Amino acid sequence: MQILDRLIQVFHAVFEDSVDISNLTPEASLREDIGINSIGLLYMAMAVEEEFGIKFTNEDFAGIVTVADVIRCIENKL
Amino acid sequence: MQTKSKPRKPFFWQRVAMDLARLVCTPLLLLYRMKRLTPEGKKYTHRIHGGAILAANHASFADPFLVGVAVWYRRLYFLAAEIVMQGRLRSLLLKGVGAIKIDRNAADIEAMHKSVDVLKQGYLLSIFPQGGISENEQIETLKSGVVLIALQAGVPIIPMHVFPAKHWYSRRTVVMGEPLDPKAYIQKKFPSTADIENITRKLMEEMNRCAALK
Repeated sequence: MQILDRLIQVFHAVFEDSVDISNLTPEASLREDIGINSIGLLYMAMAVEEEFGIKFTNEDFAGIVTVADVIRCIENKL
Repeated sequence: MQTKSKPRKPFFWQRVAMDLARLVCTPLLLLYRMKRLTPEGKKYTHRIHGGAILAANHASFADPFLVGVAVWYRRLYFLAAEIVMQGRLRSLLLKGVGAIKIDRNAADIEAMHKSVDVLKQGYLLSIFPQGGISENEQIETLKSGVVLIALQAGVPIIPMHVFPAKHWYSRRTVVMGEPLDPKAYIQKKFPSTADIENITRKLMEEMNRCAALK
């Protein structure tokens, strides 16, 4: 399964109906397009870490703006 | 929700410093003649074993010491805001006695990892989930990061209330509630934001129940 597909599953599980997952394209901004706040980003990061068996750093986190950034970060750590 | 990382052990000198801090704090137990009570007003006799989060209200700078005194028989880590850790010497001293620096203005994932690691090692971690000092007796909002850490580490949260005193030498009372196990509220692989917010609300109720003791 593609990273994006797994990511969509994680987002569905974590955010349920609280954010608009239909906007989840690689170009989408996590905050502006999907509407995730900073604590939501932490929930998401913890679930992504669990799903992919990786660990984010604060530096990674600072560089994450879009879904593509999350995918790139996961790819670099796998 | 568990990560696959290997927990990090505290280094030797940190354990020595933490024990020295306990040695210094323990006489405060006598000085404050601290009463440790349950929310029902009975004497709290339970000894906490294994990893757990102590979630207390934060009404004064003395609270971290008072939480430490309440569990004098255990090594205790605590989350400290970046502003408290400013300056090299202060930062070194606080880290030595178990402080984990957290940036309250950002999503500080490394502080979360460190917290989870020490809890998995079986240590206690003190958190003031109001996110700053508040003199209101009733807690109205809590940061949900405390629940996220507990879920990640698979440990219970022990709600506490430290009652403020009129004078520094006044007798102190700490109320400690029943452990809240966040995992008991989660049936899925990934907890949703709604699940975490519900558990945070439950924790707030328990902390307010501790504060209600007259």
